[in-house]
Amino acid sequence: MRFELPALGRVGRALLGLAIGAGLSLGLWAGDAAAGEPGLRLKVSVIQATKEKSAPDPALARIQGELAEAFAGYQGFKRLQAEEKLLAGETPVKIDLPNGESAEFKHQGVDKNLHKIRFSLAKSKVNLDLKAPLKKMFYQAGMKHGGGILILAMYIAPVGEPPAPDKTEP
Amino acid sequence: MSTENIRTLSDAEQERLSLFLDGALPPDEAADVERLVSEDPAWKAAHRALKITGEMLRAPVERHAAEARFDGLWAGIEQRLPAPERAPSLLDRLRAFLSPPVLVGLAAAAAAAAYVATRPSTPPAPEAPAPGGVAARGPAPGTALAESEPVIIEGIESAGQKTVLVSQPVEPNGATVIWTLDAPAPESQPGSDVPAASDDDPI
Repeated sequence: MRFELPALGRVGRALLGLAIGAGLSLGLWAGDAAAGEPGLRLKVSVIQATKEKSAPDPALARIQGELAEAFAGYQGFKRLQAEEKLLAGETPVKIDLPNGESAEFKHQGVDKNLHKIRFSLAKSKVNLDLKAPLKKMFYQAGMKHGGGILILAMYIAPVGEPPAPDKTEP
Repeated sequence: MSTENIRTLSDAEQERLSLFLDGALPPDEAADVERLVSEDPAWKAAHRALKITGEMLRAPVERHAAEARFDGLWAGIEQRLPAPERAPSLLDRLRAFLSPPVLVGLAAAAAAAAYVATRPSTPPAPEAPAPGGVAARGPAPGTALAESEPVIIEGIESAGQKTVLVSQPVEPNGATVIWTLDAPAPESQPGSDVPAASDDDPI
């Protein structure tokens, strides 16, 4: 079979060129949209807070002061679990918690410099839509566990960034 | 010795004899000429003379023809002929097809692709604040707003038995805490920012 190119005039070729350009751009845009963001690092530390005072957990040394201020009714903080997940596109990320609950995170886009995230606790049937800046620590707390409560210390950071601001690690 | 005079054939007779020798006469005319050659001395002499002349002419031609070498004849001819016009390949046709207007479109596509590929996919990262509201590192230019921006809760759904409370920081660098509490609210709620249920509450 012989491949024949259509005979086009100058205007036709210009239009064809623009059409090819538009098609390629659309394809790239669609590919970019499908691929979504290159990804965000989601860091979650699962902390048990108790009313009883306990020795400071070295793993929480960098946020000890913030924990003491935000959770004034509690004096003991111990990290039970540390998770780092990749939030890519709208693929949800699930983290199983020690109390049998599971926390789910789904990136839903960017609004200005805030990342829209849907945060869910499946068994508790709680869903929150929040917007968080990068590298800004925020917490979820209140689930009972082991004579205290669970605190989820969370933040998001770009992939490939130096790990300096991870305050949940010594 | 005989001195018989022999007449010369006319031009028409000569022509007719030549055609006879060439075998170009119709059969009836050929038979007539053959009869004249055998009976008429003029025709007989002319026939003989023509035959001898023809043999004399044919001999060198045949010799040269026998000596002629035709090896490489066509190669030589082809060498002298102008090069035949080659059918344009797909690459040639594409090259002709990609005229400047098409290339302008492709350049626009390349520019768009470069923009899509190189544009920042995530907003600039703000510096993380250290506990107590002091930045762990010096704030980068333009990140002050991001540093002070709190986490914004846009929507809350609770289809179970949980009460959801959000504690927003008073200080710009304070922590946002999302409380999920068993309903009804516990007797003593942890955290200074979460109001504790008390019998002393007026309402």
